[in-house]
Amino acid sequence: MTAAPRPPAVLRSRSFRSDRIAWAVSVAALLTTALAARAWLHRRVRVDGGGAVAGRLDFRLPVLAYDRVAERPGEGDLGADRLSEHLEALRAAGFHAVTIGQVRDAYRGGAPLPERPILLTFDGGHLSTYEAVDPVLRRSRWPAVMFIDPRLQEERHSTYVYWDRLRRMVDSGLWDVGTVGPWPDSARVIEGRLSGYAVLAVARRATDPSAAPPRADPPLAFESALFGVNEASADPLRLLRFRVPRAWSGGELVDRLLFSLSAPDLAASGDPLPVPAARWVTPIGLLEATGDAWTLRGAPRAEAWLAGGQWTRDFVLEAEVRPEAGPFWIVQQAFESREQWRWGGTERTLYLERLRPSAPIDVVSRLDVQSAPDAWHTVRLIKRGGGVWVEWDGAPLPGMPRGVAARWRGQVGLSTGSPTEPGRLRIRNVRFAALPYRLRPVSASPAQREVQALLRDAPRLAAISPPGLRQVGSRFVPQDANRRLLAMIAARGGWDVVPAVELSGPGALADPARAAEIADLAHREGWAGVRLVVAGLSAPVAEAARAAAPSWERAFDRRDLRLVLDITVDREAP
Amino acid sequence: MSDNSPSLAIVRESPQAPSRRRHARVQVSLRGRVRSLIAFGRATGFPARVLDVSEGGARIEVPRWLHPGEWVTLELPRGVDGSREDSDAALPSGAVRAQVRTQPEPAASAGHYTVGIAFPSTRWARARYRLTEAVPWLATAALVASLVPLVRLKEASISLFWLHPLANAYGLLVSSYIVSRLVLALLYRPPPATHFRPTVTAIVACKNEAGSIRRTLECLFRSEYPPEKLEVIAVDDGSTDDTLLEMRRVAREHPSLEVVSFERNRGKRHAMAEGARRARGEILVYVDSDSFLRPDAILKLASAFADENVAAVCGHADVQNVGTNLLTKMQEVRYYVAFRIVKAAESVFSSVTCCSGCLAAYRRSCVMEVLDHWLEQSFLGVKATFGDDRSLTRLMLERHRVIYHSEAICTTIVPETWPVFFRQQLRWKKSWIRENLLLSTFIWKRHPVMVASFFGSVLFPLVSPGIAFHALALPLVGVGTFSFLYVYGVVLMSSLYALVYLARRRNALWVYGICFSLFYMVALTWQTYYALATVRRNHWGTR
Repeated sequence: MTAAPRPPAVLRSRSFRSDRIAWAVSVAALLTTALAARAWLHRRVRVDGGGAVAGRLDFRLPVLAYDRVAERPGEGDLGADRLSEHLEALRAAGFHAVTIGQVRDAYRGGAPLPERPILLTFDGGHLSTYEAVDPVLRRSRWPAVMFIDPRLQEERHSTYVYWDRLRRMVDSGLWDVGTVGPWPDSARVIEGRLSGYAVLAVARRATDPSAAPPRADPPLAFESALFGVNEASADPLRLLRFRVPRAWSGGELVDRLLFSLSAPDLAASGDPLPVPAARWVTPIGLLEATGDAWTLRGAPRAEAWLAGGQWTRDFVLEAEVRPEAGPFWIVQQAFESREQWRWGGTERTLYLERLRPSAPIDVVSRLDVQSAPDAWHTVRLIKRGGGVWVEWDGAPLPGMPRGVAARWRGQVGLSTGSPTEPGRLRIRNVRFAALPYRLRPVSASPAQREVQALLRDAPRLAAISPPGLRQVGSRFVPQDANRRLLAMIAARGGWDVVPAVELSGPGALADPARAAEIADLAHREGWAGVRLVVAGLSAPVAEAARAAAPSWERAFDRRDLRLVLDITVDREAP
Repeated sequence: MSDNSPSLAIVRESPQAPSRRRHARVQVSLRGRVRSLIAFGRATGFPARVLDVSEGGARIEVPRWLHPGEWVTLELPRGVDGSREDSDAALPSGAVRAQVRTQPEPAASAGHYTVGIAFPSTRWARARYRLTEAVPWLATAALVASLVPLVRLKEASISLFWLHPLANAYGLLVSSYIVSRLVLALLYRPPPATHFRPTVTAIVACKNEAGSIRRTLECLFRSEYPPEKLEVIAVDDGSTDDTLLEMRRVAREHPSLEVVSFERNRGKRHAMAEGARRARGEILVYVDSDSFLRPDAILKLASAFADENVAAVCGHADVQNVGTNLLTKMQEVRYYVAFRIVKAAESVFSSVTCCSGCLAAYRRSCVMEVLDHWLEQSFLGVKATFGDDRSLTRLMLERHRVIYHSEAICTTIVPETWPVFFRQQLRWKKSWIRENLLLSTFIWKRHPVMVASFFGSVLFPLVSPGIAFHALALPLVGVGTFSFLYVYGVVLMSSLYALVYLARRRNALWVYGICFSLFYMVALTWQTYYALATVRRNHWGTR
């Protein structure tokens, strides 16, 4: 093989010095510009994650879900200035936005969250949302999550954030990306495109318990709910999000959150407090103020729920009601199982019912009454333990109290209407309060007199506590008790059975594994809870035992079990 | 001062012969002055002689070329009116505006031209004049305004770049290319006038151009260049018509003309090379046989060689037969864009890639170095016949600077029929493919902006048929949707160029620039692939 002949000198090309300099300058300028532009677009923001604030393990985490946001909002969009107002109001109210990573660590790793944590999420993955929200987040240095459906990115829809923006978003440290697509496939798509990034959350729009469960569990899964506040013991795969209405000012949002976060006041004096308007939430139907009363109406149904009602299992609700059309109900509904009980009906017939999803209605009691039509009626409903006590027009209804076996916490509200008849209910003078869980120790086989005494306190007594277990060494020995008789008594009064478990030794409450063990045992036995009796502790040991109580409570709360601590201090003890 | 003051000498009333003229003419010999309005209100003044005058217009003799359609201010001596007591007509006097209506014709006195001008006598004509004055500003405003939607479009392309990276990159590159041409053309300055007067040999190589050769040669002899330094060689490449006869006739009038005749047709390159071999001048000016030089063209070209790095200077070509039909009107704008914008932009980096055959000057020493190589050029095993201009330019560009001179102007006759035009375009495209391939082996050594725009200018014509096919043709058979955005983009881009034409030339032909782009998009863009497929076939086409 011979080399190609070299062309004669006159045909050999030549370059000029000025062009060579221009090349050097251009390449340098291009490189600098490209690197500078990249660094600027992917710059990291120091996120204000509330790190300086002392963390809490018993947090309540509200999760806000925003739909499309736009700089110049069209119909259906939230304006960037409104979002800004929301964030400022939240910050002023002491909220600290947390990252999805912090939430994952809290739910999966037991890490604390800052005081008043809040998680911001944005749905839809619209480009306009990114363009409007990103500057607001950069200013406030608050992190957020954007839920996207990566199929839209793969189809190259120009109105949705594309991978370049998503890369910038996660690089900034302000944004996390979640998916609304099927898990884990959609998360794999996102992680494939954003190499080095792990998707931590999936959001489901529908809250359908019968929906096919994901093939593999994501670290966190969200669904939409009325209040969107999650407690530390919540199921990380069923975290709730609250969809923020566009019309709300920052003040309204903060008011709602504060109501949703806090339990109603404890009716220590026995008189519940009036309920302010802002506590009511109507997801369907209308709640209007008409004079001194409110009118709840809607077809086929209208609902009004009390913000914060979810934090108490035992409560008293007083109201004057005037059903104008359709039936009316006072309802308590569990968040996760959708299970509910309700009391109400019409002016002629009053019912107490239990409802489970995809099961026929279980009518606990049915009562025909003689009430004047179109008149105001007073209702006083006490829910304590697993039972209900109702007074109608100033007198207890016959057959009260009745058990509804609802040990869960859930939202409390009023509803009206039925599929056949639109509802219209007038309400006034609503008063609501939490009740303390009152329990009375009973003997192993209560006599008639003891039962009579219990029934005298029926409205407010929540549980009876017969002997249950006694710790002997490291084992638990069952105590003798007439269980059938006790079950009959509990059913008669609508009470919980919360047997006593006697622990011994100074380190009785120190072991968290012990808490789980006893909770499991109570769950198996079908008890409503456990009264832990620890006697003979010295003052400092008792103090330490009380300090350990929250972790015990969490272990029981997770199974909707009651835990009552009965610690007696022995001043003589060393 | 006295030269500038107008003097009056009425010769005689024109005879009352049957005429289509609305106004009676008076033959006069008046000394006046013409102020020529260059774009954007800059004016130059020079003396003029009025040959005859009427209410509607005049015929004047001027020492400058005036472009048809150009507006001038003619300063007439006062009192012309008073001298014609027997006439009802009011002849203009003082400073009157006038529009050049005819192609300048050589006048009796050397270096002078006679042109017909028309006065805006009616209110409508005056309004049009005002409008014409405002046209550059309006066109500039329109140009800036049409940049706004362009910037908007491109902003979206940048913002959503990664959504369709290839399409967006193409769109951004095309528009940056086009806008960069405008900016560079704005930065372009013709080479400064120098006192460099090298010996020049003008060479006309032609075959069967009996109709225009005389005028071409006469234009050369009318050049404002020291006659002792100017040599003219006409090479007849075996014509079968009266071309040689015409050459000899001109040679009788101008004995310095050297006529070379080939007995048989050997090809244009050989004719040009023969001229180069016989030439004694340091500078070779190649002129096409259908191109007519302005008197100052050779002077301008030659003086640009004062820079010793410059090996070739490309002149500017305008269309001679503008008014013939739609095709020539479209070519008028295309020529303007190709020269005053594209070549001017390349000239900013002294890297003009094609010195048009119409009018180009080369340093003889540089040509002689590569002459044999050029003559024997073959491509893909086939001897290269056409594209002599591109090929020679490339050879110059390898080692030297090649620039464009916007003031060295000739007018050239462009194809008037579609088949001829298509064949010419095909020939150009083939040479474009061949020469760009060869250019790309060394052009990267030039200025980076030039390199980027060169590779862009190679890439776009190759890609655009595919994109046009996707946007326009496929929808016709039901695949995809017709892309109005593409058409909009093409119109927008061509408007930019057309508006520059309007601002400079101030005539209505600018619209044909947009027409040409649409015509190119629909009919001509596909030719690129045909040219690629048949690049080895080397028929001349128009000959």
